[in-house]
Amino acid sequence: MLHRSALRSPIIHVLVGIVFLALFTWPFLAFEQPINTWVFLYGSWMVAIACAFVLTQGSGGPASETDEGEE
Amino acid sequence: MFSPWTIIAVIVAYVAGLFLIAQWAERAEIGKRASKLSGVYALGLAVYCTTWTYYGSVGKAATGGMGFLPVYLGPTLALLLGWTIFRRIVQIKHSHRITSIADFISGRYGKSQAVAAMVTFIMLIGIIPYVALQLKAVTDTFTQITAGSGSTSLSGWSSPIIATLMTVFTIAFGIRHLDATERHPGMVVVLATESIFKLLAFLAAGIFIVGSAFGGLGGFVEHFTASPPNLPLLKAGDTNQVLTWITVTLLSMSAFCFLPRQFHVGVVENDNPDHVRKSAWLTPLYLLVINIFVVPIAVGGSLLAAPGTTGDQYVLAIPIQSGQSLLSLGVFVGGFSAAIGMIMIETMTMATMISNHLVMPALEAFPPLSFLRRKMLYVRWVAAAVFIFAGYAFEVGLGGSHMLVAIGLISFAAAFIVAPVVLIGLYWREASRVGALLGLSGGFIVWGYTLFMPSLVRSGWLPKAILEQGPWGVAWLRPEALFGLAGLPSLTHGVIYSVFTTLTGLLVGSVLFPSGKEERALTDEFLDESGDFSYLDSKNRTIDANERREATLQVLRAYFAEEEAARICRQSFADVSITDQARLTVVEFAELHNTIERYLSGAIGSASAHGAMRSWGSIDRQDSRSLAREYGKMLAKLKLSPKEIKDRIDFQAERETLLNEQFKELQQKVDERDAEIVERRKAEVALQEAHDELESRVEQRTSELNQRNHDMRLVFDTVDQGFITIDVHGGIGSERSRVIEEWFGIKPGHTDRTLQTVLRTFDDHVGDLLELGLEQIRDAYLPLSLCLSQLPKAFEFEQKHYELTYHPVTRSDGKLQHILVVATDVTARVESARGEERQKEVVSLFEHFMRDRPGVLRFFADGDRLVENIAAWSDDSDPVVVKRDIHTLKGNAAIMGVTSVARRAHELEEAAAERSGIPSAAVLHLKNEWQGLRARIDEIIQTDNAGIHLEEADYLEILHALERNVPRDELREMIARWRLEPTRRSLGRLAAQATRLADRMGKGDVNVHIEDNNVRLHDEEWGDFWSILVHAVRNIVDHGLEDPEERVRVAKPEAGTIRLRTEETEDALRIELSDDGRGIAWDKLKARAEEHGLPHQTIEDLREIIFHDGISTRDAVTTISGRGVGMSAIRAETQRRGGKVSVFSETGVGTTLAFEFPKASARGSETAA
Repeated sequence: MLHRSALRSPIIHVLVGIVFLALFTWPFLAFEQPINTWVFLYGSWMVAIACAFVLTQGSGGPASETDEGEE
Repeated sequence: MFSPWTIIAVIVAYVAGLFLIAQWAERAEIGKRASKLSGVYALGLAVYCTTWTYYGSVGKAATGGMGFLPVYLGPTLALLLGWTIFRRIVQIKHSHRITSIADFISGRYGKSQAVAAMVTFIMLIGIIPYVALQLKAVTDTFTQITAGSGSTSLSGWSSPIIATLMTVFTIAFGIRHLDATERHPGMVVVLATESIFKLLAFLAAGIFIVGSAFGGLGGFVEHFTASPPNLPLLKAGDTNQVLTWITVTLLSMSAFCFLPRQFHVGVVENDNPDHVRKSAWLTPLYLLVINIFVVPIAVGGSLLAAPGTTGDQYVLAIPIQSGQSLLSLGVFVGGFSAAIGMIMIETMTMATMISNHLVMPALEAFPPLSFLRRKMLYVRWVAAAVFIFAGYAFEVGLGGSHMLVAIGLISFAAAFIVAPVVLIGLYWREASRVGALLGLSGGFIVWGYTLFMPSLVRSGWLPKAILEQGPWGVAWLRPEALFGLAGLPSLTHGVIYSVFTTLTGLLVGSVLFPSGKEERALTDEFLDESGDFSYLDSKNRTIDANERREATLQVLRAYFAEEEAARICRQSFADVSITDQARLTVVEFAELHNTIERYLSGAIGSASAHGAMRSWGSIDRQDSRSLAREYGKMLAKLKLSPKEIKDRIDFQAERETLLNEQFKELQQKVDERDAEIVERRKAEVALQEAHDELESRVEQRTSELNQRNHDMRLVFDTVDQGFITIDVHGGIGSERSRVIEEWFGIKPGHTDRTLQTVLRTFDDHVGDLLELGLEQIRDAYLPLSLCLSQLPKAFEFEQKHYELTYHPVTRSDGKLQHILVVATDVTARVESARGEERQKEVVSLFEHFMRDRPGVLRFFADGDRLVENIAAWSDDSDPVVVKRDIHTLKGNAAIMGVTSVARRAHELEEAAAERSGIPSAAVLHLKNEWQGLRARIDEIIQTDNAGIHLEEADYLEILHALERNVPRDELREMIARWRLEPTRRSLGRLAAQATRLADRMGKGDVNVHIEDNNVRLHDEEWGDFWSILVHAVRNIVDHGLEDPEERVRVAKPEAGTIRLRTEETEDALRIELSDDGRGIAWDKLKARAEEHGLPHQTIEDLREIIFHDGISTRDAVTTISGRGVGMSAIRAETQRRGGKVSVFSETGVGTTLAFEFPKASARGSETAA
C-alpha cells in the first residue's frame, strides 16, 4: 500500500493518467464485440474514479503546504 | 403536448424556484454554509454537462457509437492527472484576485492587457457557437414539447423569448455586483441544484426508454450482444476514429479546466482549494452516472422513435411519443436546466472578460467614453445581452447546419488553444508575454482556419471549394489538409495544427522576446502564491554580516567608548535577531541600519545620526531592487496599491496618535490613581497612628481600671462583708471578694460550682431554697423583687451566722445580668441577740419557777423527753409522732417564754413540712439549743423534781386539821395528797398561755375562767396530757376567738371568754375547754375532707376529721397553729389514756372540747374532799 506522501507525487499522477488514457483507448484496438467495448470502457472508468479517490487521499491540510516543492 | 405559455410558465416557475434557492444560500446562515460544501462545489463543476450532454450525447451515440464518451473521460483524466495543477491554479486565484481565465493568463504574463484581450477574443469567438448550441437545444425541445398543442401564438418567437429570459436570468443571478471576484454562493447552490435535477431527469428518461425498449438493462445487454449496431467506435477498426477519440479526450481535458464557465466555477467560485481534492472523484462519478444510459437510450431510441426522429431528440421524443406528459415535462426542464446553467455562467464570465479586457482598454484609448468607467455594471449587462443575442444570431444563422456535438467540439478546440499557454506558463518562468501573444494569436488563427472556417463552409456561408481545393486553389492551404497533412480526421488535424502553432509561437516568442525584469518580477510574484516571505529565506541572504559588524563598530567608536560601542553593536544585532548569522537579507540589512541609527540618535540627535550612518554604508543597486521587489510582493500579498498602503499607514499613524492620546489619558488617570494611593497611604499611616494612640489609651485605661479593681478588691477584702456575683443559674462569677472565698471555701480563680452547691455544704435547706428561688427568677413569672425576697436570707454553720442579701445587676436594657450576693458575718450580732434572748428566757423561766415551780419542772421533764424523741428520729420512726413532739415542744417553749427553743422547733417543723424527712442539722440545732438552755437553768435552779410544792391553802388546811386533832391516818392521807397536783395549777398555766397568745396575736383581752372543782391529778402521770393541751389552747386563741373589732361587729363582748374546767365524778374525769368564738367552719372542713378524700357526709364524719392528722381549716400556717397536727396529737394522747375527746361547736357561738377519762384510767387522781 502506498504511503500517503507517495500518493502526492506528481509522477504517480502522470503515470496513472497515461495508463488510463491507454486503457480508454485500448478497446478500439482490441475488442471485436461492442458489448465488450461498452463494458470495458465503463468498467475502466469506474476504476479510474476509484484511483482518483485513492490518490486524493494522499493530500490534506492547507493547500499551500501540500503544493510546496511541486515546481 | 403542452401549450407554449404553459412551458414558459413552467420555465419561469422553475427559475423562480432557483432564485429562491439562491436567495436562501446568500442570506440564510445554513445556506451560506451549504454553498461552501465540497459536494456542492463538485456538483457545480457538473455545469460541464450542458444540453450537449443531455441531448447531444445520445445523438452522437446514435451515429458515432462511443464517440460521445471521451467528452466525459477527458474531465476524469484531467482531474486524475492534474487535480494538483488545478488546485495550484486555485491557490494563485486566492492570492491574486483572479476574475476569469483571461485575467489569469494576463496575470501570468506581466498583467498584459493584450494577452487578456486576446484570450477574451478567442473565447468569445469560440464560445458564441456553444451558446448558440444551448439556445438551439432549448428552442428545439420547446418546439418539440409544444408540438401538437395546436397553439401557434409563439411560433417563431420562442428563440428570442428564450434568449431574453436567459439574459434576464443571467443578470439576476450573476451580474448584480461589480466585483467579479466576489463569490456567488447563491449561484453555486443553484448550479448544484440544477445538476441534481438534470441528472434525475436524464436517469428517469433513461430508465423509461430502456425499460420500454428492452425491459431493463439486462435486456439491453442481450440485445446489444445479439444485435450490435453497426456504428463507429464500438470495436477495433478505424484508426481515424481512434485518433478522433484521443483528440476529443484531450480537448475535453482542456475544456473541463479552461472553458470560461469551468474556470469560473472551478477557480473563481472556489472557496477552499482543498475542495478540488473531493471533486477529483466526485465530479467524474457524476459524469459516469449521467452517461450510463446514453448508449442504451441511443439503441433503444432507434428502435422506439418515430421515423424522422434524430438521435438528439430521442431523450424527449420517446416520452412524448409514449404520452408520458409528466416525464416529458421533467425531461424538458432537465434539458432547460442544463442549458440555463451553462448559459448563465458562461455569459456572466464572458461579460466580465469583455468588460474588463475589451471595453475597458477601449475606454482608456478613447477618453470621450471614459464616463463609462463608472458604469461598468451596466456595461457588463450590455455585454451579457450582446453575448447571448450573438449566440442567438449564430443559432439563427448557422444552427441548422450542424449537429450539436460538432459545435461543441469547435468550442472545445478554441479552449484548447489556451491550455499550453496556461500550463507552460505555470511551470516555465521564461515564458514571456510576447511568446504568449504569438502562441495565442497563431493558435487562434489556425483554429479559425482549420476548424471554424470548415464549419462555415459546411453551413454554406463559404464556398466548398475552399475545403476541397484550398483558397485560391492552393491545395496545400486546404483547411483540413494544411501543408499536405491529409488523411487525418478534421478535428485532429485542426487541433494538431492549432496546438503546434500555439506552442511554437509561445516558445519562439519567449526565446526571442524574453520577459523584461518587470514582467519577470510580476511573473515571479504571480507564481509565488505560497504566501511565504521568501525575501526572508536564507537563499536571499547576500550581505556579509561581519562586514556590517565592522562598519557598525567603526561608526559607533566615533561617538562611544570602545566597550560601549561593542555593547551597542551587539545589542543592535540582537534586536534584529541576526546575532549568529553570517549573511543578511536586504530586509535585515535595512532593519539593522535603522536600529543603529536609533541608538545613535539617542546620543547625538537624529540629524547627526542620519549623517553618521551615511558612512556606515548602504545597499547596492541590486539589493535596492531586491528590496523594491520584496516591497512589491508585500503589496501584492496584501492586495494593496502603494497609495492604499500609504493610506493605511496614515490610518495606522492616526490610530497610533489616538492610541497615544488614549495612553496619555490613561497615564494621567494612572497618575491620579497613584496620587490617590499616596493619599490613602498617608491616611492609613494617620489611621494607624490614631489606632496606636487609641490602643495606648486603652492600655492606660485598662491599667487604671486594673488598679482601681485592685484597690476596690482591697476594700472589699477589708470589710466584714463578702461580695459575690452569680448568674440566674447560681453560677459563681469571678467577681468576688477574698473573704467570700475564705467563708465559702471557694478556690481563687474560675470555678464551675454554683452558689447553691456551695451552700448545701453548710445547710441543705438553704441550698435548696436558693435553687428554688433562682428557678423562680428564671421562670420570670413573678416580679424580680418578690423572687429575690424569697431567697434564703441567712444560714448558720459551725457556730457562725451569715446573713445574705441580694441585689440585681441589670444591663442597660433592664434585663438581669447578675445577682450581687452580699454575705455578712452576723455571728457576733446573733450571739449578742441570743445572749440577750437567753437572759430573757432565764428571767422568764425563773419567774415561772417562782410562780409555778411544778410547771417549770414539768416543762423541763417534758422537754427532755421530747428532744430525746426528736433526736432519736430515724427513717423507721413515725414522722407524724415526731412532728407532734416538735409541735408540742414548740408550744411548751412558747408558754415558758423560751423563744430560742420555740424558734428552733418552728424551724425544724418548717423543714419537716417541706420535705419528707427531718433535716439532721436542724435537729442538732434544736438539741444544742435545748441543752444550752438546760445548762443555763440548771446553774440557777434545781430542775429535778425532788421537792414537794406546798400551797398556802394546803398549809392552812393541815394546820387546821392538827388543831382539830384529826386522826393520824387522815393527816397522813392529807399530806400524801400534797404529792398530787391540783388541776387548778395546770389550768392556770393554760390560761396564762392563752392570755399571752391573745396578746401576741392582737386578739385583745381574754377572760379565762377556771373551774377545777378541787380535782387533783398525779403530776408525773398527767404531765404529758397537760402538755398536749397546749395545742388546744393555741387553736382556741388562733382559730376560735375573733378579733376585738369582729367581736364588736357580731355583737359580742370585745374581750373573748375561755372556760377551763375539770370535774371528777364517781366513774369519770371530765376536762373541758370552751370559748365563745366563731366556732368551727364546718363547710370549710367539709371541703378539706373532700380534698383529702375523707368521709364527710355526716357531722360525726366531720368531727372525726377534726382530729385527722394534717387537716386544718386554716388557709395558711402560722407559728402558732394551722398544721393540723395538734388535734391529732390530743386525740392520740387521750386515747392512750383510755379516754375520749369530743367537739361541740356552733357557728358564731363557740366551741367546746370535752375530754372524758374513766375513773380507773385516771390513775393518781384524787378529789379534795
